[in-house]
Amino acid sequence: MVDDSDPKWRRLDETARRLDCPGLAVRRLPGLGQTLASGDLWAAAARAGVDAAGVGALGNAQGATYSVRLARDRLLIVSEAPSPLAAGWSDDGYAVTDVTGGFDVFEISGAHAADVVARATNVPITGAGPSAAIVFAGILGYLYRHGDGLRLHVERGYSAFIWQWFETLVTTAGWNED
Amino acid sequence: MQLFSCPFCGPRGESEFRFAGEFGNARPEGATVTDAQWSSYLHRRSNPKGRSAELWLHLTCGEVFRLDRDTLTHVVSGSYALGDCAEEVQP
Repeated sequence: MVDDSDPKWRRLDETARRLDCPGLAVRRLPGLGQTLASGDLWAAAARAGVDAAGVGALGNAQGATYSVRLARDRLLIVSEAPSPLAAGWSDDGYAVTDVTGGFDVFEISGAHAADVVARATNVPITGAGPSAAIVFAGILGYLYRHGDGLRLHVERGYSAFIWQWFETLVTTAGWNED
Repeated sequence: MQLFSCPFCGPRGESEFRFAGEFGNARPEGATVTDAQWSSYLHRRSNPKGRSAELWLHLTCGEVFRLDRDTLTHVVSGSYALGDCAEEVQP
């Protein structure tokens, strides 16, 4: 009989913000506003002042406010300032939900950032696909480039797991600076 | 790992997908639906050996789509977004 009495991963240390090893840095990014828009994405994006197509997997997001494409009819708007869209149904044909508390955001940077993606995914991600939704380390995540690094959104409930996954990686990878 | 093609996301590993039923098994509607029609909708599948049209779900993005594949060889011959005239494409 399987013994499930031991926890499968540790409780997340909320003060933990950064992991480092040669050639890799992982940071938790607090304070990013996240808004989910569903329905008429073009109307929602126009209202929010972001690109309706949004960035896909490994696509390049730029600026303090940008959009990430999750599905055919779903867009995640990320902003450093409070959300540009009011939550609720819009008569323009879209629905808005504030999901700031729903997802944790991690920044992966350094020369080995691409190696992290290779370890976390089971198929090569070539080019920027239409959707940023991928399976990352076995869980659903939204992955794209931002600045010099990558950003990964995972459901808040998986934060402890993914942080421990990163901890294991930085302590066992054995990578050099380059 | 076999690759399936989500009509929206493109090629992804098979573990991101889930079978969602036989394509074309429309739910009978209306007050005149007979027991036989309802029973057929619930229980009778064609279960073809060979070319098959199926509904699949891409768990990662939530897209439900039509996937044509061979149940004997596992060769995938096409994937179509619902609404893109998928009903008119023969497997």
